[in-house]
Amino acid sequence: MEANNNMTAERSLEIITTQIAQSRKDVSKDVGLSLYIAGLCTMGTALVIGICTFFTNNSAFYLLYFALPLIIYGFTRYAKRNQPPTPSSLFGTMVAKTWLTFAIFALSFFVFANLFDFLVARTESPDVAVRLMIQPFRTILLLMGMCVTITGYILKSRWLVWCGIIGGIGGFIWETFNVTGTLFAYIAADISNYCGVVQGLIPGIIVALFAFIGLTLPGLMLKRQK
Amino acid sequence: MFQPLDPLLHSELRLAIMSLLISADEAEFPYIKEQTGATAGNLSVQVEKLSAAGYITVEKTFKSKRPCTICRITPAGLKAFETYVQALKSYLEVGKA
Repeated sequence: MEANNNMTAERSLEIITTQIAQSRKDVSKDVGLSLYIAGLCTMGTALVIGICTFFTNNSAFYLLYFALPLIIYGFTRYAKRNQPPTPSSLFGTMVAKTWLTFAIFALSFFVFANLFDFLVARTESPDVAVRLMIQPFRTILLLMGMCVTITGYILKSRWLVWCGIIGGIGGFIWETFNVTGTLFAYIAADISNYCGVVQGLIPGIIVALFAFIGLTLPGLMLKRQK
Repeated sequence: MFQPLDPLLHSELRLAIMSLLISADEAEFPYIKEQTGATAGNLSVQVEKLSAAGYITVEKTFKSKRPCTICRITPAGLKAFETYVQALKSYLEVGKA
């Protein structure tokens, strides 16, 4: 591109449109890589937690979820080490603020729900405690789906919007009705480590599955766009 | 009636620089060079012209011990860009009619 001063109005408009579209695409690719890495890390962590809980019957492994933001940050920094920095733009800032809001709400809710469940389990009778306990996963899946959908709208990616809706609402309904646990109770109620499977392995697989639909898959699509 | 087009912005490269900076809060020199496909020398000259007109600010700093030039659009630049787009619309509307 040279300093040509004899442009038509159409050519001027074309330059403006191209540059703004290019900026949006750069942010999309950058966000795509971040989503892809976040998805892989979430899937890996969920499966590790599921397997460890299955073999040990110790739910303390769930605390590993607190390390997830650090794991994602580390891997993202490593993956982007040789990439030129994407300029901070309105789209990038909006996407970053959306996910920061998700992180604040999801982590706060996760901590509150676990503390609440801990207190209820020790202060109430078991039948009352079961009714009062908060199941944080379904709400976190719903929040995650909402963030993926908003990101899709910002970046004008229909795939991302649909992945967010399916992953978020699907995950919420699935967890609310405990579909996997109910199905598993019919199929394999007589296996030796039933509790380990229902409390450890299955939640891990569910989180990994919805992280794949909501993060890894849309991330891969954004990353690969031309 | 045609509105006059800002001669400073009515240049392919300068318009591309301004369009890039409109959608980004700030951009580093190598990024602008890569996006516009201009040579470093030519880009430097055009950036200097926009900076002298007060449309952009140029900050020379260091990043990991390497020199780094960051360009940002100014409120005056934003206003000039808006006026330019408005003027452009009048040409396009006449073209359509």
